[in-house]
Amino acid sequence: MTLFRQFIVRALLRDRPRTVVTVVGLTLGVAVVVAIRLANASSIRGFETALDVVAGKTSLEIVGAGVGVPETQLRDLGWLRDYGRVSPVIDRIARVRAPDGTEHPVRVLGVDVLRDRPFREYRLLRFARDGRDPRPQELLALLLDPTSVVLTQRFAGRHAIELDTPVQLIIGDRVHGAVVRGLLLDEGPARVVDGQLALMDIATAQLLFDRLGWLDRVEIQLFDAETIDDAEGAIATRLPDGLRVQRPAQRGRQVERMLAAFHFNLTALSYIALVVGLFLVYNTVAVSVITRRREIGTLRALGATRRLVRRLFLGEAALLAMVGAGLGLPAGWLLAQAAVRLTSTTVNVLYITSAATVPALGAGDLLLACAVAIPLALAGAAIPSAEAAGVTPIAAVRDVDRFVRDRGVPRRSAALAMLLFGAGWWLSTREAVGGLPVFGLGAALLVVFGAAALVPALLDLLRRVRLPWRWFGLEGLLAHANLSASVSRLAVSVAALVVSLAMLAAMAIMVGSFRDTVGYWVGQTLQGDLFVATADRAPLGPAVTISAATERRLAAHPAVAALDRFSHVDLSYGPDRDLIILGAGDFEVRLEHGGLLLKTPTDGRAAMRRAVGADAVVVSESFAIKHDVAVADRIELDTPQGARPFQVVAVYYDYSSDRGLVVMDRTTFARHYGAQRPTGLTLYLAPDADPEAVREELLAGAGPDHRLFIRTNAALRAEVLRIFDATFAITYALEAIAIFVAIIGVAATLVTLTLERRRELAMLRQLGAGRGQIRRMVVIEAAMLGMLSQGVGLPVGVVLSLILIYVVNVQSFGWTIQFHLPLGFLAQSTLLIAVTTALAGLYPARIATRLTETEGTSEG
Amino acid sequence: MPTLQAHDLHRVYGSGDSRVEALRGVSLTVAGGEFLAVVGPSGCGKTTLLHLCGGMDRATAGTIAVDGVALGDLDDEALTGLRRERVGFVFQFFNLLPTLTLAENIALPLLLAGVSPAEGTARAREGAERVGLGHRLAHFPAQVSGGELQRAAVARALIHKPALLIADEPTGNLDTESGQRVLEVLRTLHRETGVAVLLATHDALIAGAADRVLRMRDGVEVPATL
Repeated sequence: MTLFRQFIVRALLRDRPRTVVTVVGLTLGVAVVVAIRLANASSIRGFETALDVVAGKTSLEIVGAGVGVPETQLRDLGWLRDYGRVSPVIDRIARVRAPDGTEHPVRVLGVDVLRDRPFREYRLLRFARDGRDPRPQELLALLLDPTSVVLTQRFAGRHAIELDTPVQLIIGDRVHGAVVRGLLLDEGPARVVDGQLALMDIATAQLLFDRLGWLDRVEIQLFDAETIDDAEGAIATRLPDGLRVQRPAQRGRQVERMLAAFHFNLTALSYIALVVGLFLVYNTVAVSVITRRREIGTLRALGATRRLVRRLFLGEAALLAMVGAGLGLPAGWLLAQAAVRLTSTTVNVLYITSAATVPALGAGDLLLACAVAIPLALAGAAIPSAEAAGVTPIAAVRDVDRFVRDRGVPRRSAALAMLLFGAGWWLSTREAVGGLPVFGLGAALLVVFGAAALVPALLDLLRRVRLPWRWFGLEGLLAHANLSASVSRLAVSVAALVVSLAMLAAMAIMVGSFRDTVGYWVGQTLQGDLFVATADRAPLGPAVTISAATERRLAAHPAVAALDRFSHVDLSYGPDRDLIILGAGDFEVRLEHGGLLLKTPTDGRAAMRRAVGADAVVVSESFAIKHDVAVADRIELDTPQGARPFQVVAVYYDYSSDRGLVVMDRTTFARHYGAQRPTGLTLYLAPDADPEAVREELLAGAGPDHRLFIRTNAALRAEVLRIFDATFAITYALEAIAIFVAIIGVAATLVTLTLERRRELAMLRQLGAGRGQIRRMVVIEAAMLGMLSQGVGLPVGVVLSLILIYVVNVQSFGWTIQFHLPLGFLAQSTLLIAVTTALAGLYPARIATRLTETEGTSEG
Repeated sequence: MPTLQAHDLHRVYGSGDSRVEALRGVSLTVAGGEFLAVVGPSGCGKTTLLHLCGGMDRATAGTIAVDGVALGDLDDEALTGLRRERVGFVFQFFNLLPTLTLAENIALPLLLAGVSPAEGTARAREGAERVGLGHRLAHFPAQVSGGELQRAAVARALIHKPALLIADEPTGNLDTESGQRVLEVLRTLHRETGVAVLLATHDALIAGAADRVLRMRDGVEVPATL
């Protein structure tokens, strides 16, 4: 330990630039992994806490097929009371408009107060002041008035809402005046969803949410919670077709499964930053071994064993990792705050509307950080440590076998690269594992390592090739000579930069291709002139509807030629009860006016025409891939009357959700699921109508009781791409971190090389080289490394993007993405890398010029 | 039993066209407490001979025994142990570790042998005082002169009381005055500790301080008259 402190720790403190770079690299790597884990946990947790609140003390729940439980069936379910207390529930999302005009989403629970009392605690501020809970009659009196709503003390406090004052509830396109009759105390359920909860009477909720005759679910609180397994089985056998019994937690599990691919990819991405950290550790330890060869030889001559030497350098890596983990943990938590804002946008847009908060750091996180960083650092240090252990005592006095061994390295590294590329190709042809692209990402990782392995060979090529470095004058010639002499030292830091740049190029190509594809899809699919929606886009859970009055008013406008009504509900599908989206649209209208980008069959329009009014569906590409369904197959969907077969007549391209969509004609939907209000409308205008003017007129005619979001075609397209860009923002943030770390890694290597060459530099000065020439030489070296890295990174990035597009994406989400090279972006990034690496060379250049001021040529 | 006994040592580097025979059958014996100087021009094989005798390198042919232990029979681990316990080294370029203070450098062989840091420090202080460096204990190598570095190296080479001290051109990188001082220290400690010394030099003055001189040229021992 004493020797470790004297020989390793002091050296780390002495060589600060390299140590700082490595620690910063590891810190960022750990921080990114921790941040993504926390962010993922928070999005799941956000949903689960919301679930807990709403579930209360519920043991089991009865749910219907997509559209809920018909109220008429409740009368036939009287036998449920043999098992426990029963409470019907409406559970929806609305917005509350605060007195200051701002709007905030809340989860609205519509309950039958008398039945629901044992399920949830209602501690109201009004009664708590008297030190008691409200009696059922008092609650009833509070809520029975259709204008009554109960909010939480926290929510009301935040938005300056007073008890017994009016607020506006916005539900779908309707604006409903309500009065705050109670405030739930800031404890228990009211606290966990950050207070965004509202209570109202179930009848009022049914009316307001267009749910007359329907319940979202029926909750059961068993008399004996121990008998839940038996009760669940018994109830399942007695339920009529179309109804299902499940535990509330099952909804959480469904969501977890739904998010698994998204989280898996994000987590995999977060490990890229760690891979760069691994290279940095290798680099630091390797440079340390190379520059301290004579010292290691001395240690060996004095009697240090090979094992001791290896342990010293592995210890160096472990120490760096521990510092990185220690700093990375709090940094990760801070990063998670930002990431949650980004991913919760993504997750919310894609899946959930719920409050996501970052969980506090625990001992488990520290363990995770160490468990990730330390083995990684040890792996990174394994090769240079073994090299250190192989240093002979003779090295104390002679530079023996130092470069001799390097001769075979380029050839071996090229062979290794080919092997890794081959293995990567093989992995890319494997199937997904449990819906996750495990082998696909494995293939990507092998390509990354293959690119890294290729670097020594390419540097060797650079050494041999007489490129016109003379263009940069004498400095360029010297820079080339300097780099040629340091191939083995440069290899690792250049490899780290190559990897980061390849990932950036791959990500840019993938995202660019995806964006182009989505743009094309939107262009083909969005043929309507105006799109009418409500404020809340809540793709998971029940959607809010557009009222009949609004629909009539819009249809009556003289410029409106046709109107396509679209509804969607969540439906459990298949043996794993995956949550899919069941949609209904006016096929006739769409055939006449709209577009749908069909994958198969080629004559999709004829197929859709056959599906009008028939028990036939069109399915999205992601549904077809995930559930292995093709045209002409029959699929079984749950309906309120039980499972029914539907024939698949077409598969269409869709990028709005990776959950999989099944769409049927509106008349078919009504026949099986009952008449449901639409959740969105598409208006097709007369040829000469001005969409913007019609939009203004329709909005103006809405009146104070209605509120609509009407977007023109162009605005909706822009909105789709805005959401798309927000989704990938975090991807770029992670990439930026990896590249930043890699570039400072190159700078640190140049610092080391400069320090080693100080006598040569001083000699150059004595021969008459100016300070400017020395500085230019080092900057040219840095830029050369940057360009070489980009030169390798770009083609490798193209290969990686192919894997991401054709393997990982298809296995994760089931989307077809058309490959497209974003040439502009790649050209820009190349220029940026050249400038940035040259800038990164300024620091070692400054050191070089400063050294030559003081250094002589005599042996020191 | 002599401290060092070497018989018919050969050392060949490289192969084919690049084959170099650095030693071509050298034999020598150093008795306990004896001071043997090896002299000869640059490239004559002095350093190679010293490396073989100190267990830093292995002979291509021939045998070496230190304190009766045949080096050829030892594996890497055992050879390392022998260097740690029986041999002390003084190098031409001092080879002090730059991140260790002089005291720590001097104590290094003890630390490697498992002696406690406290005891190591105490003995290093003692050793440093014997070579006149008591006032430089906390200095790092970069902060002291070449002569002081070499005296610290001598103290380090003897701190663990080795049987054999190997010194390769110990004054070769010093000015005359510093070299003289190092030589004095070496002779004093040799006398006091009774360690056997094998020293390589091309300085006749230094060779004159030895009990016996072995002359070399082109990898072989040559008679004194040549």
